[in-house]
Amino acid sequence: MKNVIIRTEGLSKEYLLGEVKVNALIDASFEVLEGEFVVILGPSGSGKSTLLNIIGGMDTASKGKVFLRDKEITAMNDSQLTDYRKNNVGFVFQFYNLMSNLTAEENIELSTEISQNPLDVDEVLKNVGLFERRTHFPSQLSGGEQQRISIARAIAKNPDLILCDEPTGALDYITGITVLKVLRELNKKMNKTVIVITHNSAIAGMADRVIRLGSGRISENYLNEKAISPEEVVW
Amino acid sequence: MATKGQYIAILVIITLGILIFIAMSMAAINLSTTLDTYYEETNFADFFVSADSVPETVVKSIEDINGVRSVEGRIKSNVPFISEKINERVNVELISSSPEDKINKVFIVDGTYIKNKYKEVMVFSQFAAARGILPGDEITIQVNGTPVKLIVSALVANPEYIYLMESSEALMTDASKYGVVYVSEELAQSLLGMNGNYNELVIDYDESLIPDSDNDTIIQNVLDDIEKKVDNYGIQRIYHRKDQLSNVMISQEIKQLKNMSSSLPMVFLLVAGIILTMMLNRMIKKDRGIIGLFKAIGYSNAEIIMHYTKYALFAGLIGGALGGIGGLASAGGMTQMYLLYFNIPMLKADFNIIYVFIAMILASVICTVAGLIGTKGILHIFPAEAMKAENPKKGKRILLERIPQVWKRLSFSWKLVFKNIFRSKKRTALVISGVIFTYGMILFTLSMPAVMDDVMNKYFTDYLKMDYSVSFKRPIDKSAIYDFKVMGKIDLIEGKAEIPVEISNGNLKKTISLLALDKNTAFYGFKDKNDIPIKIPEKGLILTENLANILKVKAGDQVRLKPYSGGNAVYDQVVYVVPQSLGIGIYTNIGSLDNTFMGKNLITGVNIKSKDLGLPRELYKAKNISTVSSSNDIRAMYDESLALIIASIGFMLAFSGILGFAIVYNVTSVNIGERETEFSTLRVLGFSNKEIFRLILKENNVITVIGILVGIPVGTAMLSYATLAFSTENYSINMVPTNGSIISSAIVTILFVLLAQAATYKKIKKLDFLEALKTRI
Repeated sequence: MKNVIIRTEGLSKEYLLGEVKVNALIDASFEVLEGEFVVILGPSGSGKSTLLNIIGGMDTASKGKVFLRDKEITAMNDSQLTDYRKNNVGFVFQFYNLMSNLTAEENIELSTEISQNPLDVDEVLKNVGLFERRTHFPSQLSGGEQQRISIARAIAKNPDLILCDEPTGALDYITGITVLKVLRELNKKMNKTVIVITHNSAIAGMADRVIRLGSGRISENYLNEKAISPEEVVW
Repeated sequence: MATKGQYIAILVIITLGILIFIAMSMAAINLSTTLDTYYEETNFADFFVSADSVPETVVKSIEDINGVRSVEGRIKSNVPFISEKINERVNVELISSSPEDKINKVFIVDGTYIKNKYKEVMVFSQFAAARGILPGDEITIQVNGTPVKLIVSALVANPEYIYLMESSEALMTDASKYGVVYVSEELAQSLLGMNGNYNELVIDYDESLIPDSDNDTIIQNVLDDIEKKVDNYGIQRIYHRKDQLSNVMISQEIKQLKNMSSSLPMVFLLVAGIILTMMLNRMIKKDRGIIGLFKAIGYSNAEIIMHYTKYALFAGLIGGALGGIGGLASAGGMTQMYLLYFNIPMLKADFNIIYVFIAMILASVICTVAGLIGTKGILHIFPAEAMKAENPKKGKRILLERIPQVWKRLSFSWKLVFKNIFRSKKRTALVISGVIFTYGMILFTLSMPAVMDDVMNKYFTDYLKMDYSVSFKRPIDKSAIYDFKVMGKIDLIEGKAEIPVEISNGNLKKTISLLALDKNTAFYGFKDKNDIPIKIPEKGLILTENLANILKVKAGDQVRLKPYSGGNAVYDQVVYVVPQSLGIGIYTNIGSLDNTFMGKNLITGVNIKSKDLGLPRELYKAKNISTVSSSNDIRAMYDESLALIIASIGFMLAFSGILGFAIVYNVTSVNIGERETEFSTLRVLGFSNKEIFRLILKENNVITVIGILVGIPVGTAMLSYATLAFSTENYSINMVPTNGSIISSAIVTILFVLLAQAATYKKIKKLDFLEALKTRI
């Protein structure tokens, strides 16, 4: 029986864009179980990034609550959120955001230096298949390789959650599949809960759970009984 | 505006730079114009002669020299001024004045010219102010032991005493203890028994015959011609106005002011320009997507460049205007400040608005050039590329990584620090340069009191060991020393002979007093360059280093000495060359003097060691006493003036600190701006604001340490430059930083840098990392 790792209750976010009030997220309530590979699907402006940012402790909610197990994230102050991001969350960006003056392994060490219980850097590099490229700088790596290093950096912290914001958005199809494979392997081998946000509905095929967002609201939330492997994903 | 703080910092630097430029330039112009006007109105003499006694006929014969327009004789003597305070020693120069005087005319500040020739006196205004003397007051002077009461008819000024100096050694003179009084020629003749002769001549020369003031050959020829005329009348000194003490002081001051007014502001403007370039560079990078869009729409490079360059131009215009107005407002005050030290009764303060426009143009040009350099990156932005995500910068190993013995020992955070420092070499170089300059300026500033104090201590304790130095009107036999011993409590007394000579080495000449002392003198502590004590040689000369430099001689060389007393020239050997901070000198063994210079066993003065404060009053009762100088009085005057020196040092320190602060603040701000995405990623990873700030702090601290270490030789070089710039024939202050000043300068620099860094912490806190990470084009 899997435990609930993320629970949201009536989560809403509104902000002002100039003089216009925007409801980015409206009354979102759902649960994610430990070890699930979740895809949050939706077009641009659907609120998926906002949702991910709140779960990741990078943004605050206007209403509602978010829990990581029994810890209420939405009640945390700035310092607590920093600790939350440090210890509980690994983030993978669309555009990798690696430090250009650090090598691949140094970029990963950036995470492990501040973590309480990090994984071994070399092991993580092997897991993403880039141990031989560990002394290369980001400018010497392809987009896919950079994204894999970004994933390695996220996983090296040994977090509870891996949050991925359009991880294949800047990549071509083949590279994108490679990255998805890495994410899926980490999810299965290390039992890490992975939440991926994307507009690419093809990726939903490999998810354990799919949450669909539209205009800030959750329109669908279902378990994918027939999850396909990343190699079978086609777009 | 994200760059509001930086823009304000740039404006401050430009405003300060222009303010200094205007204030100093205007002060220099005002002083120069005022001086020229004053000299013209009072007909400041071109040549001066001091002698024992020159008949009027000889005085008039000098007018036969080609180019001499007129000559006037006068009588001058240093006499005691009787103060109400018993032990207060006050001296005045008693100078004769005539209403017919056309050269070195007195300038009446208050009151009227002498009417009663035998009962009235005119008093130098600075001396009068210091002593609270007003027209109508009665003063008493002592001439040849006899008190003389006189009524003050006027307070006056004179171009010879723009800077009041009792002697060439007295850097600073206490205006309440030394002054000048003018009496009628008839009274002076009567008091001093000159029998119609004069002991001072002032000469007006046709300056068009000296094409420029540095035409030494023509000046020397005139001096030689004058000397021939007065050779037999006990010449003490003949000199051109360029060697007149007061004129030397004010001319040098104006020259230094002019130099500083152009060099110092350029430093500020250059710094502002560099920071503007960096800021615009950063803006271009941040706006590359928008720039790409504008280019795609059809805007030209020139149109886009001009848009951004306007930021820089605006800074130049605003800073130039503010600085110009501030400078004009300060110019009067700065000029007035100089008039605290220089007695010029007619200040010509011009406020020429044209300087504000010059300032605005200067600042605008520099800022526009900076802007154009900073925005040239726009030329390389292609629309399609601009709207894509930026390629990651190339990474490479730094030098330190190639030294594994060192690199392996560093913690990860320190590795990060060094990698970041050497990632942007230009930025790092700029911060280091800023710290070097700031540290150098602070070291220079903080070294000055210690250097001045050291000079004074060395001069008045190690070198000059007398309490009083006494000069006679006429030489006497050395056996007369014993008569002095009854005048007061004298611990030690030695005779000396001061003989005016012309010393030369080929064409290089100098008029100076040869000081003959007991070879075992207890009153002078001569030391060589290595600080080893030396004695006056049995035969031969000791020259001070500044004199040796003027004559281009060294130990072992021969020099020619021609006494003004009329004897033949002789050659003598320079045995030692000694460093001496104050004054210029030539010394010899009194026992080796023969009749060439002066009769054997004669002395012209004595040096005295005595704690008796009433001794000078007793000495002046003797008829043959000309002057009594107290070393302690001069030293005390310096100590009082130290407060003023410290005030000006505080001013310079503030400027250095502001510049250093501005550089570090701006570069750190640009640093933060350029690394927004990086810092945002670190925030997402779980770094706190404080942890990120500590990273930046470590980077800047390493740079600061490097800057300080390099700043030590830079500051030392600045002090060496100052030694050259501030040294004259009479003063040679060897500025070497002390360990204390090196350390205290480092502390002050670090404080300013930390302050600048603390000010940037707000930028880290304000960082919207979510927003920064969203922006990818």
